[in-house]
Amino acid sequence: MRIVLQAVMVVVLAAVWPALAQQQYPVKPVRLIVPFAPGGPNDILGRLVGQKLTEQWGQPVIIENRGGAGGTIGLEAAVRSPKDGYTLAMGGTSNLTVAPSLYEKLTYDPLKDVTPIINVAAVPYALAVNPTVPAKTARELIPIASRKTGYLSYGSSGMGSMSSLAAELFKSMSKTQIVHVPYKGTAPALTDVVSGQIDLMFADLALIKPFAERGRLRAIGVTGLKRSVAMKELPTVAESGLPGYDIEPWFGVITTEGAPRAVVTRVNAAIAAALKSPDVLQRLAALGYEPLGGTPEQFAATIKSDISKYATVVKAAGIKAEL
Amino acid sequence: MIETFNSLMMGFSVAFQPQVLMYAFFGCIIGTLVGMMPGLGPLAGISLLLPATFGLNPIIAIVLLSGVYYGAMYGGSTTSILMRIPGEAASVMTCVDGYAMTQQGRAGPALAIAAIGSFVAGTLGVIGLMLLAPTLADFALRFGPPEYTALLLMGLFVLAYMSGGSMLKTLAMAVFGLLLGMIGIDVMSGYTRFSFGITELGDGVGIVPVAVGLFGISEILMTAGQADPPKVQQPSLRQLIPTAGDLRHSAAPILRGSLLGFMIGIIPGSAHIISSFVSYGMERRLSKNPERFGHGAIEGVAGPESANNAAATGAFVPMLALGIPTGPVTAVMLAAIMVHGILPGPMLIQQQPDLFWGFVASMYVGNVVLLVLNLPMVGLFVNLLRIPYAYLYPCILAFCIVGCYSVSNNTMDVWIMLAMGVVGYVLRKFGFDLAPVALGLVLGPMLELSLRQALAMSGGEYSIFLHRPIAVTMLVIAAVMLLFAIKPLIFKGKDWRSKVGLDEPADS
Amino acid sequence: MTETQVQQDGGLRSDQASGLTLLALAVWVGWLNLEFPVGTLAEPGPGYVPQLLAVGLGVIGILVAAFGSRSTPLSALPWPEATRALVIMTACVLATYALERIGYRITIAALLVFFLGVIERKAWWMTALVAAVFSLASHYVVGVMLKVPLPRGPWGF
Repeated sequence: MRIVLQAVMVVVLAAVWPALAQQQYPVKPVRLIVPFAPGGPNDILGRLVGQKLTEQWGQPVIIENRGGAGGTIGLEAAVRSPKDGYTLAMGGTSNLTVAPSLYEKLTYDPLKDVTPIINVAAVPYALAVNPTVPAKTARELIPIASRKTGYLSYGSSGMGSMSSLAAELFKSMSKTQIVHVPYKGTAPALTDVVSGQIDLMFADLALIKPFAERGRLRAIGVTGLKRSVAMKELPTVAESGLPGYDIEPWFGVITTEGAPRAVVTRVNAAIAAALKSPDVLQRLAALGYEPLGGTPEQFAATIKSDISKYATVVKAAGIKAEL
Repeated sequence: MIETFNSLMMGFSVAFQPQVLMYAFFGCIIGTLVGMMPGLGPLAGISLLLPATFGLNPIIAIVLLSGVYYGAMYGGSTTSILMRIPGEAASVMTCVDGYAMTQQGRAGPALAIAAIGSFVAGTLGVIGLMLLAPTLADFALRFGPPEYTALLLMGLFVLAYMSGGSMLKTLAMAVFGLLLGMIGIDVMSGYTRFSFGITELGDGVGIVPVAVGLFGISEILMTAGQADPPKVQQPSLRQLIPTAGDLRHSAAPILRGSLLGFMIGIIPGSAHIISSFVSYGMERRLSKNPERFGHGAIEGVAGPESANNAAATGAFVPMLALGIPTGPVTAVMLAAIMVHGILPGPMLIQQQPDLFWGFVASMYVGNVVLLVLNLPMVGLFVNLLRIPYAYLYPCILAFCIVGCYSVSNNTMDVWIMLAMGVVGYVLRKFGFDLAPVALGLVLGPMLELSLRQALAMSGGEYSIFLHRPIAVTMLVIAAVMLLFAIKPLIFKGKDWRSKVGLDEPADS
Repeated sequence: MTETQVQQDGGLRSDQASGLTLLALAVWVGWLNLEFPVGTLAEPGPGYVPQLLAVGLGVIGILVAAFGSRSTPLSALPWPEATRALVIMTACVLATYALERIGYRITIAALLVFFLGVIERKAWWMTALVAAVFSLASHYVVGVMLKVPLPRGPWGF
């Protein structure tokens, strides 16, 4: 009889043990790789996530900046890490959905090598022009942008970046002739739009807003389908003259494939909870981001649909890059 | 003028609050420590402290971060002079004459002059910032890709003045550096060049691992195996202090370096790294005994050190006056301000006078703090040289490894450092100068990008350069510089081969 | 030309060797660069400037070699410290390889033990002391105070 009882106990324990163990995640510090340079909006978002997770779990979440190559370096590091769920990474439209179409020799497959956990925030992008450009809406901009002499130039943070893709989509949808002047990073490009060296740019609304409020830039529209809460009076580009235009960058948290299901659920729950707390919402609003949240499956679906969406954009724009 | 003075007094009242002072001090110390570590530079220090500033009030945040920035510039020169390891990119030129002075037992004066020069340059820079911020900022905005191209071309031609050895070999090294700069993603086309499939090379080879490897590691490789280890130095107190002659020789370079550095610094973009290179070239060109350069000329320390401090101060001008980041460091500092809900921009000075003037005042304070910190520490640092080399070099190697690793948490940087160490060792054996490699690496990508951007803007017309007055002026200066450089080759009757110096291996 | 031939009894000269190496490097870069579109003068492609530089380097290499007949003979170049340098470099390479696999503190300590104990043959207790102190102190300063995430080995240390 005793043996039977012991056996039952063992069986029960064995069944419950994995769940018990997982519930203790994390038992050691967690790495959160931010594949972008420190100080940028993406980095700040990552640090916010890390901070909130640390508070919830009591275990430190250590931020590792591994910037470069459009966010692919850091993501590759995450994909190569052990599959125990202790290495997370910030994945965004750039390194998850655009990179596969842009770079043939990309060293990871965002659909197979990555376990999406949760989509954290949407980063509204907007179209801004130098105030000397006589256009207030996309409708007014298009004829000016079609000029062959005295053409308009647009800046981007590099060929293949979200800012260049947004512009190329605009170009192909409106059939205009704007000239691409790539920069190394958003800041120098935006600086040159402000100073008038170049005419327009698609960039983070958060970066454009301070200049727009002082009249040094004119914001024409946000690139998504819905207006941004940060600047409600700004129409979408679609509303203001280019229907169907839609570019919505976002950032979420991922880990490598094969991570334990229970870990994924736990991280998702923790971040989802953080996204409801007032101070996080406030910080996000200050940055101009919009919280997203959702389940891992929803995130996976978003990734998948965006990959095909940007594949079309890249192809239509004829952008060829190589890694 | 009175108004400025009043604002400044108000700024000082902000800056002298005990809490602000304390954080400034704290920032300076951390900055010096970070700057002394090979590899970690101001950017690393600031990024590390950034999260800590979220909870502080914005004035303190920015004071802390700029203290780190300044401190790192001061600290970077210490390792450059003592061990020939550039603390960060801007200290590369200091390695050359600074270390030569150390080898001659004159590390003390070198460190002291570096500190003094930095102090004077920083103070002059802050005065410039204070008086001229809005005007200069508007001037800076007129720099676009064509102007950058011209500026960087000028910087490239400084090469011709940088070394006394063979012009041909200097050129070879410059081209080598330029080629190294080609590695990585080409922003214009999206192609990744010369990365051999290694993702980490996608962002190019950083100047920091290359500089640390080329200068520092190669030095260790050359010295560690020598039959007679370098003599332990036991400098007397008198030897720690710069002589009157040192001070006299350094005065003009410091002033010139400050002016030059400040002007380069206010231009948005990372061009302020080249301020120390240009200053070195200028000092060498203006000196009556240029052959002393490379062998311990104090001007070769005074000029570059002043230039890079002045450039660091100048970098704040567009940041504060216009809200425009001039490079990764100021971008991080802007982020630090923005997190507190303050929107930087042209109205910052009017809307947030506390912030601006408090910041300016704290920069004065910071410069003084750093001078006070660094001068007495000269003795301490020079005592480091008393450690027998056998103990010193393993620790230095370990420091270099951890320093380079810390920059991006990437062993790739360490590999690059080690590889460049070997390359530097071999190059020195064959009589090649190393400084042009660093210059080429820094300038190359920027120059190529600006040129192609200018051409994109103009639709392929080179005439854009002629239509822009600032660019034209700088191109003319560049042409004049080039002509002056090759003049000796053409006009002096000497055997031109020996003039080009192909016989003797050049010292590096 | 006969003059230089007479002087060449010392074998290859250092400048000739280095010049030829530069030329070889230039050719290699030029070959690697073939896969990138060169573009035109008005619209330089990714391969334009590298090609220019490769050609330049090649020309300079040839010139250096050509005028190098009076430079130090290769065999006369002093390399007394080369073996030691090689050993040092090998140790550093192994340490870098081990850095992310065994963890920072152990790797650095091992590296220092190697240098101080094996190469420099210092007293064992001094070696151990310096290795331990440096490794732990640097980990504290960089890893804890400056918050740089230094790698930990599989044992968490």
